[in-house]
Amino acid sequence: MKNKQLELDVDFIGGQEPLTKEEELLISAFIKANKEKRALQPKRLTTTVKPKNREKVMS
Amino acid sequence: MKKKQNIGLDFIVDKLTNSIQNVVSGDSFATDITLISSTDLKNIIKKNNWQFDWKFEYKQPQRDVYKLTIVNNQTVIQGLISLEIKSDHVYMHLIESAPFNKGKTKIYEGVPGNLVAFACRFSFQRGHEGNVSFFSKTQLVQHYIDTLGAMHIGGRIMIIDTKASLKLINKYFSNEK
Repeated sequence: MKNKQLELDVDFIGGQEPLTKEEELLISAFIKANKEKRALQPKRLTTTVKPKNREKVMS
Repeated sequence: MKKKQNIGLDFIVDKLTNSIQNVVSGDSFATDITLISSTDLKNIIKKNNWQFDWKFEYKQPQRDVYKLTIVNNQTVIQGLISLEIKSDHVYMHLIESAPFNKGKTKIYEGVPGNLVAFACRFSFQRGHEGNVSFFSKTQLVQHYIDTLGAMHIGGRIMIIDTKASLKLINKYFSNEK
C-alpha cells in the first residue's frame, strides 16, 4: 500500500528576524547535551569478516 | 499599524529526492546549489510573486543566500535559502520555493527538501557536525519531525541533529563523490 503523504495546503513562508539571545542559548544547550549523550553511548565495534577465498575449479 | 511579520518556516517537504521532479511529467532533473548574485536579485521581487525581501537577506553580512537551479539552467531559480553560521550550528533563516513551485499548481516538487539537505551538508563542511536549526510554525512541527527527522526543542525551535542530517544528505547527495 502506498503511504499517503502529509499534505498541508500552504505556501512557503519564512521569517527574516534574527534569533534572540535566549533562543541561541537554548539551541547551544541542546546541541551540547546531545553531544555529551552521544559520547556516553558505547561505541559500536565493527568487525570485518574476510570473504572466504573460493577458487573456481576450472574444468 | 505595521503588521508584525510572521516568523517560522512554512515549507512543506513534499518529496525527498536527489533532484527535483516535474509534477506533471514525473521527469527528474539534477540540481545545482550556488551563491546568489546581485544580478539574480533583480527578478526576485514581490512584484514577481516572491514573498520575502531577498535583497534584505542578501545584504545581511552574516547570512549567505543560495539558489537552487536545474543543471545547465542557471538562470531559472527554483528556490532560495538563507543560512547563517552560528558558533555551533547552521541556522536556516529562510527557505522559499520559486512562485511557480508553490501550492497545488507547482511545476517541480522536491525544492525545499533539497535545500534543507544542502544546509545539513553545509553544517558538516563548516565543522558543526550536521547540526541545523530553524523556526517552525506550530502546525508544521510534526511534519518536520516526520519528514526531516527534526527534533522540537521548545517554542518554535527545531533542530536537525547529526544523525538526521546524515540521513538527509545520503538521500539527496548520494550520487556525489
